Amino acid sequence: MASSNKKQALAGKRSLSVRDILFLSLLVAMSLALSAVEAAIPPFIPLPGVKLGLANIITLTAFGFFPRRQVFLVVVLRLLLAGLVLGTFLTPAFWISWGGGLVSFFIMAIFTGRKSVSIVGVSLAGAAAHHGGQLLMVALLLSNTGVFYYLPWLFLSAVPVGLFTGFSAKSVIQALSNSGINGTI
Amino acid sequence: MGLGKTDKQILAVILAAALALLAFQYFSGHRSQELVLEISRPGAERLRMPVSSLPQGEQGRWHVEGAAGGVYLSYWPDQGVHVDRATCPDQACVKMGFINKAGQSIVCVPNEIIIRLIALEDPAGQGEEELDGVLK
Repeated sequence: MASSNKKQALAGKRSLSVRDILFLSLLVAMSLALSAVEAAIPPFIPLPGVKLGLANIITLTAFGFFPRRQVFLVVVLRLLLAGLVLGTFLTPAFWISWGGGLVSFFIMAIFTGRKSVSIVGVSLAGAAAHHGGQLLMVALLLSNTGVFYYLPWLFLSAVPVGLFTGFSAKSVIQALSNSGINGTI
Repeated sequence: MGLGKTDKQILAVILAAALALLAFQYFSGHRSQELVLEISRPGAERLRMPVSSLPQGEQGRWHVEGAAGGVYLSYWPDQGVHVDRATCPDQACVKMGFINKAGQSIVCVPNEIIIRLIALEDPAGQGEEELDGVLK
C-alpha cells in the first residue's frame, strides 16, 4: 500500500503539513456525522448510551493513512465534539462513549500494525472492544457489575457490526487511495 | 469474504467468548433457590426483597426514587418484574420488558437505578433489614 511509506514518514515527523491537518479534520468531521447518525438509531440493548460504533469506520480509515498518534487525535476530537454536537457533554452517555472509543482505539492500535491481521480483523476486535469498553464504563458509573449480564449479547452483536465497519473502511481506504489523496502530499 | 486466517481467529475468539459467557449464565441459574429483587440507587442502601413478597399487579406498583426523578415498578407473578414508567427521556428501562430469571437486570442510567434479580442461598438468613423495602 502506498500509504505505508507515508505513515512511516509521518511517525518520525513532529509537525504536520497543512494537507495532513486538512485530511485529519475531514476525518473528524466524517466521524462526527456518523456519531450523529448513530444517535438517531434506537438502542439495540436496553442500556442508554451504548452504541454500535459506526464511527469506527473512520477510526479504521485513519489507521490506513496515519500513524497511531494522529489516529488518537481523531478519536479524541470526535468524542469531545460529538458530546457538544449531540448535547450529551459530561452526561453518562458522554462518558460511556469515551469508554467505548478509547478501549476500541487501544485494541485496534495493537492489532493494526500486524501483517497477518487485515482491516476487517482489526475492525472485529475493535467492535468487541468498543462494546466491552462501553459496558465497563456503565459498570464504573453505576458502581455495579450487574450490567455485565449483557456482555455476551454485546459480543455477539460485535460480529456483524465489526464485519460491516471493517468492509466499509476497506472500501473507503481503497477509494481514497485510488483517488490519489495520499499520493504526493 | 476476504478474511485471513488471523481475522477468522479473532472472529472465533469473540464468538467463543460470547457463547462461553452465555453458557455460564445459563448453567449458573440457581433454579431451586429463592429469587430476590435487588434495587441499587444513588446515595441509598441497596434494597433486597424476596420476589414472593412483592406486591402484585397494577395495584402493587411502587416508586423508586432516582437521580432523575425515579421509576415505577410492578410485579406480575407469571411474567416477572417490570418498569412501568420512568422519568428519563429514552425510556430504555421501560422497553426492557420483564425480568424473571436470576442474573437479569434492568438498568436506568439517567436515574442511576439498577434493578436486578439474584438467587440467594438462604434468603431467610439475610437478616430483616436486608429484606426490608419501602413500598408506597
